[in-house]
Amino acid sequence: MKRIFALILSVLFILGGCSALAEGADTKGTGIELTVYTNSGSSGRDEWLKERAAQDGFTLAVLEDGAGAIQQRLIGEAANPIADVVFGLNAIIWNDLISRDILVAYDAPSWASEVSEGLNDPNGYYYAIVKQAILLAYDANQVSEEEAPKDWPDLWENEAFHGKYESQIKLTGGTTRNVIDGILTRYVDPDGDLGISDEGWDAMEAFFANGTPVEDGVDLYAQMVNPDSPVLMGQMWSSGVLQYDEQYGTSTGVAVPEVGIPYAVEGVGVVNKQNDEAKQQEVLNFIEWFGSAQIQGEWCEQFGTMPANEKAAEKADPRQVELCSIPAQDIDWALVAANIDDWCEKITLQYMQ
Amino acid sequence: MVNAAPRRKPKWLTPWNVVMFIVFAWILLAWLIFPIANLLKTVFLSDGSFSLEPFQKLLKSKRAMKALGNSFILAPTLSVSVGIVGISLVLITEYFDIKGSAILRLGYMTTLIYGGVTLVSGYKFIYGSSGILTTALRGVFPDMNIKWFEGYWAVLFVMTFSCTSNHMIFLRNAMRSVDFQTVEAARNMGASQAYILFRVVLPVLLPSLFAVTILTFITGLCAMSAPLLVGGTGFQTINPMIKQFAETNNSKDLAAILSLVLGLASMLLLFIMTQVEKRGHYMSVSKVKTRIVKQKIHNPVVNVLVHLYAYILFVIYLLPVVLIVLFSFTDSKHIALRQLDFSAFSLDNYVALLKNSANYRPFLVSIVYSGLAALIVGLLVVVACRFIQKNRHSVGGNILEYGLMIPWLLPTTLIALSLMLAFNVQRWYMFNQVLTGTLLILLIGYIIIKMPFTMRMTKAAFFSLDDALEDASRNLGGGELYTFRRVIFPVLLPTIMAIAALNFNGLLTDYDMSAFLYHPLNPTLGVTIKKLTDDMGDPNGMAMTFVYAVLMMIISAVVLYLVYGRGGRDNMKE
Repeated sequence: MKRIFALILSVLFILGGCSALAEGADTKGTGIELTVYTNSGSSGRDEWLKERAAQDGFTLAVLEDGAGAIQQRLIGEAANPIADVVFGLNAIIWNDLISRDILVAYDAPSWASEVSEGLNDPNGYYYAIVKQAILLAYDANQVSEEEAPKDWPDLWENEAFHGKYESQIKLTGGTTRNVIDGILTRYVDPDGDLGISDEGWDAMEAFFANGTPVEDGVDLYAQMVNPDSPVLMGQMWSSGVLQYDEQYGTSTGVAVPEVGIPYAVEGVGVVNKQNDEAKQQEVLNFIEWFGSAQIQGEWCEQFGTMPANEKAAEKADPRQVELCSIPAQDIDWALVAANIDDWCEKITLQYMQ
Repeated sequence: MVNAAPRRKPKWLTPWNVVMFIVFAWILLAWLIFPIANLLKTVFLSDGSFSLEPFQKLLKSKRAMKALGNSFILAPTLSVSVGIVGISLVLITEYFDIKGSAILRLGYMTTLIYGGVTLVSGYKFIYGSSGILTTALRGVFPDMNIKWFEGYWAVLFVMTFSCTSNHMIFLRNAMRSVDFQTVEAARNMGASQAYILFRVVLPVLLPSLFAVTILTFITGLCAMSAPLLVGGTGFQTINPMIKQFAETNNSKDLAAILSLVLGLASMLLLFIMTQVEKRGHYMSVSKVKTRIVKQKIHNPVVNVLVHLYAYILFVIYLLPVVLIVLFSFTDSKHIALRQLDFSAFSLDNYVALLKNSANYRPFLVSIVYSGLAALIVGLLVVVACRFIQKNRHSVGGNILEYGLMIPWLLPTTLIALSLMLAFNVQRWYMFNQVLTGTLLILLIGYIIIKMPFTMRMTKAAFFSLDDALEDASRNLGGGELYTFRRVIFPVLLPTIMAIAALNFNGLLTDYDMSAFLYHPLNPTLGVTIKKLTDDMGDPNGMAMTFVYAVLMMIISAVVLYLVYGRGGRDNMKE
């Protein structure tokens, strides 16, 4: 009898302890429905998340769309937000949303300290979950490492690469914008047009003038393996490398610039919204759960992404780890967020082919 | 009532008119004018004052000016080429006695079930640098330029054959109402076949031809997929640039300016056409119509040539569809390289799509939305057209007519944004209801974007109505509502249904409106498909878009058959 009593007590103690101190993946939801916006829900990720979260008591409505569309939607709905939580996106968009008062800062979840340094927002508006290296990729079956470009400027400075790389025809995508800011922020000049020196704009002009424009609806890898296409290299995001190599039989090589490469940091943030206390707590609980090493580890095993959480990174594919070990370029994201639209407008009007 | 001098003294104060006035004034103001004015204000006066800077930016941009120029080259030339092909399609299927015309017609109607990127991809499978025809030609001429299918002529070619949908429906309907007695009378008076065709038959088609030509012109101005996919660097048009600017926060002013230029050009053409239409009376004068009898072409050489022409067109129309269906069984790599390799065929794509029940929901959502929107916009416009028809020269009629055309002035993305910005706070004109996040807002959006097309085509149908029918009903004592309900509406019904079917099919794939307004739990098909080809998406996304395209072709075909296939046959009852 005593034993049973002790057992019950201990169970109660554990349960009680859980609700007060639960951390990471042990956090349980109460079932209050949360609306989650993300651009990182394709290939079944949204379905997986809904099911996985439901196992731990979270009820999610997930809206999935392109990063730009999510940004527009959040801005448009600012007066009466629908979303509770946003995840995915990239530093440029995060900073834009922060400047528009669309997000609220929140206390760091327990896993925030496990995230690689420099990826979380210093002001606590978002904490990183996935990092995506933005690469200059080529097909190593056709271009040797010696011949390959070492950095973006090689593409327009070395005539051997002229016409061999893809230049974009739409500047709304996240990868494209990261490539552009990776190049332009090397030429910051407060007196220059839109904060960029003439040298920087000349580089941008040459970048677009000497590339082969993207064929709409045909991706980079299809061009690389097509013998009739001159294209052998172009921009790529790290988590796509494995899947594309598998599908097209290519062997991706990447440039490793001395200045480093831009990373698209997918984070998780809380929407500035008048929620009642219970719901706000549920939002924070969900983030505590979602960013944990356990859940991020499962996510990366399932979808081949590179977790920002270093504990979860142990579960990542070695190739991903390798691609994402290239040092990050030092980029002033606030400057980029304030100017990227104007930069893209100028490029679209003046430099694009 | 109708006979004496009704147009001078419209009975404004009937309860019916008052209700109508309130409803339409509210729709025009609350759904269109207030939200758009609000958007334009935020776009142009973002710094508190109006500036000419965006105009200067555009004028300085060679690229923008060239693209704008290209759009203005494409629109009129396309109107002519589509007009010629469209009329010939109607003559082949409805006027001349061509062997196998029933099968030919099905081929010519394929443009009704697909469009956009999928359609242009279909053409690239044949004429593109690794397309079937190019590969075959290359076997004969190894040194040929494999990029021969690029630039203005390629765009014109693809669009000429893909923009004949309206001709196949509305012009064909008009052809069927040609009175055969006039043809016979002309023949008895010794007129030649060519003379009858050009002087007796074609003039009857003019009102419909005006209407569909305006649509073609606007399609040409707003060309998107064809220039992007086959225009090359030499022939890009302005709409892709507008869309990009509309999607970028700080560039919306440029998008608005550029699209207003296109919109005003469309309106100008519309105005001219409307004036021409008002001046002339193109109705068939016969009161007892006889169904047209297909004409055998007497000249044997011409006969063979026309048959040849008909079947070449058939192949041009059919091949892209066949290839899209075939390629939907392969993977993205084969699609991108345009290699039709039967060993790569599998049902994997279809299994992947159909085994996940979550994939069914977008179909259901889009079908319900598109159906409701097509129905509501149809009803609204019929009522509006009735009013316009009865008040042809009144200010109210004109305001209503042009008011419903406003959505043609701005790109869909901006209209969606205007609704989102307007309806996410309480507005007195929306009875203080916040609509963002509700299911209703997308429905309103869908209704709005289909108003101009519905308006233009329904009005054409109203104006080709024989006034005698209405007079007869009135003389027999039929009241206003009775005449409308029992006499006019049934005559117009086939056209109204056809318009509704076209609207339904168009909305089924909508992305631009859905993107900003869809309900979080109920994504539409367009949104689902767009995700497949997004940045950082699935490498096999392209193949999945083909599977979706095939499934939508099936839905669209079924809808067309149910609504139009049967309605079309009843068309000749009167």
